Amino acid sequence: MKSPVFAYAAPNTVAEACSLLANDEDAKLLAGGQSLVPLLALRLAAPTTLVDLRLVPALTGITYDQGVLRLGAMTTHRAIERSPLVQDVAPAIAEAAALIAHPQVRTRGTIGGAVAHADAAAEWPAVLLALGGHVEVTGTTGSRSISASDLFMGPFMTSLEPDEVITSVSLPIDGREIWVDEHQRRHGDYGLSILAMTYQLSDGFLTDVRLAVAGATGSVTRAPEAEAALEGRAPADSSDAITALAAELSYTSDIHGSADYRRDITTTLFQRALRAAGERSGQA
Amino acid sequence: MSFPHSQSPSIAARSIGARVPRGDDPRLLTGRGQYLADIVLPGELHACFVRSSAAHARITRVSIDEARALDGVVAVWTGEDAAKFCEGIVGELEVEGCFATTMPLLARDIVRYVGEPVAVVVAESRYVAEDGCDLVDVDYEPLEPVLHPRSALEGGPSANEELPDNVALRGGKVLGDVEGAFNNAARVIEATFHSGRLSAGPMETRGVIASYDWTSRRLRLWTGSQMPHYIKYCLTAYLGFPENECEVLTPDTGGGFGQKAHIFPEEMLLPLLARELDRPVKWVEDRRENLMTATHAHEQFIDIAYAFDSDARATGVRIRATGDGGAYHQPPWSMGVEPWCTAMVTPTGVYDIPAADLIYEAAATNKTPIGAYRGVGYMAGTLVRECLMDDAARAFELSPFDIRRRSVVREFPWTNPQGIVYDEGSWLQTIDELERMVDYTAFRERQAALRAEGRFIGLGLSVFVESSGESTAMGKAHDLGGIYHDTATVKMEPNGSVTVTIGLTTQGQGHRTTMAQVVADSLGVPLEAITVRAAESTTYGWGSGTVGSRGAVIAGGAVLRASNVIRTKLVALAASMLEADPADIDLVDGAAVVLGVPGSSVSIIDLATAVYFDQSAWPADFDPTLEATLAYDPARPIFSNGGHAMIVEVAPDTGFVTVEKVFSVEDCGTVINPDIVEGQIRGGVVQGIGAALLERLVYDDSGQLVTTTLLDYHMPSMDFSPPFEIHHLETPSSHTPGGIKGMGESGLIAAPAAVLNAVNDALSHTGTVLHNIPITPEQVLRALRG
Amino acid sequence: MTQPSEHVSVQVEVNGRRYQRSVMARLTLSDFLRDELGLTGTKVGCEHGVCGACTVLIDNEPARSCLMLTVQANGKQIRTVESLASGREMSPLQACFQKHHALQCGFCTAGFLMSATALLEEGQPTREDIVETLSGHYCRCTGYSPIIDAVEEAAAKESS
Ligand SMILES: Cc1cc2nc3c(=O)[nH]c(=O)nc-3n(C[C@H](O)[C@H](O)[C@H](O)COP(=O)(O)OP(=O)(O)OC[C@H]3O[C@@H](n4cnc5c(N)ncnc54)[C@H](O)[C@@H]3O)c2cc1C
Ligand code: FES
Ligand code: FES
Repeated sequence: MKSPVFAYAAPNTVAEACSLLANDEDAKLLAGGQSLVPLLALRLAAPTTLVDLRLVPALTGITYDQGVLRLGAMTTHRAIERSPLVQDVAPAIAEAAALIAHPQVRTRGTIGGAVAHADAAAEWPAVLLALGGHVEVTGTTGSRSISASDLFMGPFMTSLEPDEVITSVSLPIDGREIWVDEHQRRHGDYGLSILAMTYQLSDGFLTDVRLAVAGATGSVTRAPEAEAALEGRAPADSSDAITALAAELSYTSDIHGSADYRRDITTTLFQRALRAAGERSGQA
Repeated sequence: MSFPHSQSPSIAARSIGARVPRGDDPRLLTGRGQYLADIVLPGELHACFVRSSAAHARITRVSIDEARALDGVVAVWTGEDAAKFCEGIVGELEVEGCFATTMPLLARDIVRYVGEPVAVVVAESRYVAEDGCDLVDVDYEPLEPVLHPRSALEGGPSANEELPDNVALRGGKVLGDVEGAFNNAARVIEATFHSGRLSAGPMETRGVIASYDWTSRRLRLWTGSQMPHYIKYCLTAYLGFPENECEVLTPDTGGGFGQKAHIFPEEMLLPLLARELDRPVKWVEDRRENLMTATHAHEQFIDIAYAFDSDARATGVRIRATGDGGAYHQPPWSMGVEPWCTAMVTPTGVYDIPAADLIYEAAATNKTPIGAYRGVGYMAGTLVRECLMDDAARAFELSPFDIRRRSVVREFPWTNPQGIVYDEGSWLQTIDELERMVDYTAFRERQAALRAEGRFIGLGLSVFVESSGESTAMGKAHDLGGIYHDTATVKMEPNGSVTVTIGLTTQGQGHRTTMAQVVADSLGVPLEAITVRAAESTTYGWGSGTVGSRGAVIAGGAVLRASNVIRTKLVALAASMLEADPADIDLVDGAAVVLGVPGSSVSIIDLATAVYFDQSAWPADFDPTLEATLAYDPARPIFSNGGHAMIVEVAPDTGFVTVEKVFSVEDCGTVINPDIVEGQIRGGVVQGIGAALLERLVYDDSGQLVTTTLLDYHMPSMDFSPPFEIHHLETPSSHTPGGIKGMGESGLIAAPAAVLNAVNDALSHTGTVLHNIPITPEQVLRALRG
Repeated sequence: MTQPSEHVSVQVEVNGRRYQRSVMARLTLSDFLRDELGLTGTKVGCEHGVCGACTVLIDNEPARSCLMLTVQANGKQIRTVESLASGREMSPLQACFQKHHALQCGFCTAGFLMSATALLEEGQPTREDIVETLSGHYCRCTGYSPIIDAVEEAAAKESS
C-alpha cells in the first residue's frame, strides 16, 4: 500500500496553486491528507501532480465578523474544536468538529479538505448546508463564493472547477439555534446518520428551520419537506415532520446498515434534535 | 501411552503464582523491539504480489513485459515460474472424510478466490514493486463463483476441481440412543446458527524475509510464524532446501492468534526467489492483503437441537456443522478443523449428555481459505451450545444458572459419549461462582426497574471446557492424527546464570517470563539470572507450534524436565560439599540449603563455579554437563474450564449494544503468572465481543470481498472495552508440571455466546431470539420495534 | 513558479536531532522515520489511518505518520517512541504500561504511548478523555482496560 509516483509542489500563494492545477489536468490539491493519502496508498487515486497548500498563509485563521464565522480552508478540525473563539460564538460548531474521526486525524484533517472531498458521511458538509454557509473559492480566472446548496453535487462531487481552490468556509452565526449530532457505532467512526439542524425559536415555535442529513443518504442533503412541516410548530408537534423526513430522503444500504435501518435511526436522531429544541424552548 | 517424556517432575511454587512483570516490556516499550519489518538485510529486494481480482476465473493471459521493463524491477514470476520448483502445498485434516487440496504458490490456469496470488514482482523497493504490480496485466475469463456452502454441497459448479462435489470434509458419528432421547424428550430446543467470517487481524501483518547463500547452500528465513519448525520442515519437504542448512528465525511478533500458525504460499515462494535472484527478498504484507488473503476464520452454519427431559436435563444432542471453507485447505489446519471440532468435540461441553448425533462438513467455496483463529472450532461450538442453554432456560422458566446446573457434570473422572476422558474440573463451581459474582437476584431487579424506564439490559452466561496443551494424547483422544512434542534446553554457566531455549515462539503471551518463573522455582536462582530464548531460531530445540493453548504446559513441561536434570546435579554436588543427604537439599533463594540445618548452605553460584572449575568438590561419578535438552508431551489430555457472564445494554434508538461488564471465571490449573493469564482473558474476551458485535468479512454476490480496509472491517476499539471482574479457580492437573493447564483461547471461545445470550435476555420481552453473530444493530432495533 | 518534482528536500527535527534529506515526494513519514532514519519504534499496522500504530507527535500533537508525506513535515518537530525514555529510565507512562500489563505483543504500543504522552502533556485527563483519545488506536491483544489503567495512573503521578 504505497502511493504511486507523483510530482509535488508546495506553492506560496493561492494564485500559484491555481495555475499548478491548471497546468496538469490530473493534478490534485493536498490539504491535511487524511482522505487523499489513504486513497493514494490504496492506489484508488493516482494524481500526476500534488499541489500542497500547507505553505499558503492566506488559508489559515478563524475570524468572526458581523455574524459570520470564517474558517480558513486549511484550518484543522482540531483547531476548530479547540478554538476559544468558536467555543464562544458557536459551541455547537466546536462540538461538531469533535465528532470527526479521532484526535490523531483531527490534528491534520482540514475543513477545506473535508468540504472539497464531500464524503457522504462527513460532518462539515451537513453543517454547512444546515447553516446556509458558503465557501470562498479562487481559480485561475478569479474568485467566487459558492453557497452550500450549490456546492455539493453528489457523493465525492462538488461544483468546484478543476483549477479552483477553496480558500475559506463561512458559517453564518446569527443567533439561530444550531444542533449537530450523529449515530456512530464506535468512537470516531463515520456517522451512520448525521443530522444538522438550525432554527429560530420564538415563543416556543420553530421558524426558519434548516435540516441537513449525511451518512444515512447517498450524499449530503437538505430535507425541505420536513423543514416545511416544522415551520411554525412547537418542537413537540413534530409528527408530520418526522414522517416527512422518513419519506422524502433516499436512504442508502451498505454493509453497515440497510436503508430501512438508516431511515429508522435518522428518525431517532431527529427526535433527539427535537427534544433538544423542546428543552431550549423551555429554557427560553 | 507412557513415554519417559510424558513424566514431569514435581516443583515447589515460589515464583510460580506471582505477578512477575515481563522482562520483555522495557525493550518493547522503548521501541527497541525487532519485528519482521524492522529487519533490514544488506541488498534486500522487496516482493509484492499481483492478486486475483476475480473470485473464480480462467487466466487467459498474464502479461509481465511492461512490469519487467520498469526501472528498479528485478524479476516478475508467474504461476509457471513457481511451478517449476513446487507444485503447491497440500492441505488436509487427518480425520475420516477429508479430501486434500493442493494450493499452488502462484495460481496457474485458474484463480479460485479474490486475492489469490497470481504473480510476484520483485524490486528494489516496495514502492517500485507496487508500481510493477500495476503494470502486470491479467486477463480473466469468468467462471461461476461458488459462494454458499450449503448449496455448494448439494451440487452445482465446483469451486475447485480437485473437489468436484465441493465436499472437502464430510463425516460424523452417532453415539448412544439419540432417537430415544429425542422421542422421549419433554422439549426439544433447536435453532440454526450462523457465525460470521472473521479475520484474526493481528496488529502486525504477516511477512517473510529470505536470504540464501549459494556457497554454503544456507537458507535463512525470517517469519513471524507460530510454527517455525514446521515451516523449516516444509522448506525441505516442498522445496528441497537441505535441512541442515535451513534456519527459520522468528523475530518479535505482533500477535498471531492462529493466523500465523499456517504455512503460506508466500513463505514458500520467497526462499525460491532469494535463491534464484541471489539477493535477500522481503515481503511485508499490507493490511488489505491481510484482510483479503491471510486466512479467514470461524464462518459456519450450524443446525443444532437438544432434547431435554421433564426435569430440564439435556438428554441428547444433534448437530450438523457446515464450514464455509474457501478455495483450499490451508495447511496444516485446513478448512476441516473448524466444523469438525464444532461437531465432534463441543456439543456436550460441560454437560452430561449421553446421546449425540454429530455431523461435520466443510464446503469448498470461492473465498479466501479458512484457517485457525484462537479457539478454532470451539468458539462456534460453544456459541451454539450455550445459546441453546439460555433458550432452554427461558423455555423452562429457569435461571441460566439453574438450567446449566441440571445437566452439568459433577463427578470426575468423566468420560463423555465421544469417549474423551476429563480427569478433573471445576465445572459446577464455575456456574456457582458466576452466579455469585453477578448477584443474580439483584440483577433481575435492576433489569426490571430499568425496563420500566425504557432501558434494556440483559445478562448472558456462557461456560466452557477447552482442550489445552495440545498434545499427542489429545489428538488420540479426539481420533485426530498428529504427533506433538516440544523440547527445551536449560544451560547453567559458571556464574550460576541460566539460559533456557524453548521450541515455542511467542507472539506477546509472555512465555519468556513464565518460563523463567518455572526455572527460578526449579533451580532456586533469581529471575534476573535467567534468560529465555523463545524459538528465535530453529537452530535449537523442537517445537510443534504455539497453538491450542500449548505454551505454558508444553514448554513448561520441557523446561521443567530439563532444569530438573541440572537441579539433580546441583543437589548432588551440594550434598557432597555440605556433607548432607541429597534428599535433604533444597534449592531456594540462590542457594542450596540443608533442610532443618540452619546456616548450612552453599550458593548456587559457588556450585556452578565448582562444576566448571573445581573437580575436587565433585562427588564420585559426577558428570559435569550443566546443560540438558529434554522433550515433553503430556501423557493425557488436559482441559481447562471456566465461563463468562456479561451484562449488556441495548440502545432503543439505534440498536447499538454496549457491554457494561464482564465477569470471568477461569480454571487453568496452577496459575504461573496471574497478570499474564488475566491479560489473555481480557484480550480474548474483547476479541469475542468484536466477533459478536462488530467483525464481519463480507462477500458480495460476485464473490468480491467488500471488507478490504479497517474502515469496513470493524475491530473493537477502546470504547468497546468493558470493565472486568476476574476470578481464578485452581484445579491443578494431576500429571502436568506443577499442575499447570493451558489457556489463552477461552476468552474468544466463550465470550460471543455470553454476548449473544445477554442481548437475547435484554430482548426477552420482545419475543425475538437472535441466533447469528455478529449481532447487527439493525437486528436489535427490529426486535425492539416488534 | 514552484516546479513540481518527484523528489523533494526535507528538513525535520526528530527527537531533538536535525535531519536533512532528499526523498521521494511520495514517501510517507512513517516510511521515512523507519527506513531512512532507522527509527523503527514507530510501527505500521494499516497504512490507511485507522489502526493508530504509526502515531507520532508533530509539533506536540499526535498524528498518523502513515497519512503524512514526509515533505508535509518539513520544518516540524517530530517525536517518536524512541524519545520517551530519558537516560536509562523509562518515562513514568512507560513504567505504568509495564506495571499494568498494558502490552502483550507490543506492536500497537508506540502509538498508544505517543497519543497518551500528548494527552498527559495537555493536562489532567479523565478516564473519559483517555478513552476518547485512545479509541483512535487498535490493540488486538490486551482488551484495552489495562491501557486505560496505565494512563490513568500516569496522569495521577504527574499531578502529584
Ligand atoms: C480513520 C479516519 C477516520 C475519518 N473519519 C472521518 C469522519 O468521521 N468524518 C469526516 O468528515 N471525515 C473523516 N475522515 C476524513 C478527514 O476528516 C479528512 O480530514 C477530510 O475528509 C479531508 O481533509 P484533509 O484536509 O485531510 O484533505 P485531503 O485529504 O488533503 O484532501 C481531500 C480532498 O480534498 C481536496 N482538497 C483539499 N483541500 C482543498 C481545498 N482547499 N480546495 C479544494 N480542494 C481541496 C483534495 O484535492 C482531495 O481531493 C477520517 C479520516 C480517517 C483517516
Ligand atoms: S499505520 Fe497509520 S494508522 Fe495504521
Ligand atoms: S499489545 Fe498486541 S496489539 Fe496491542
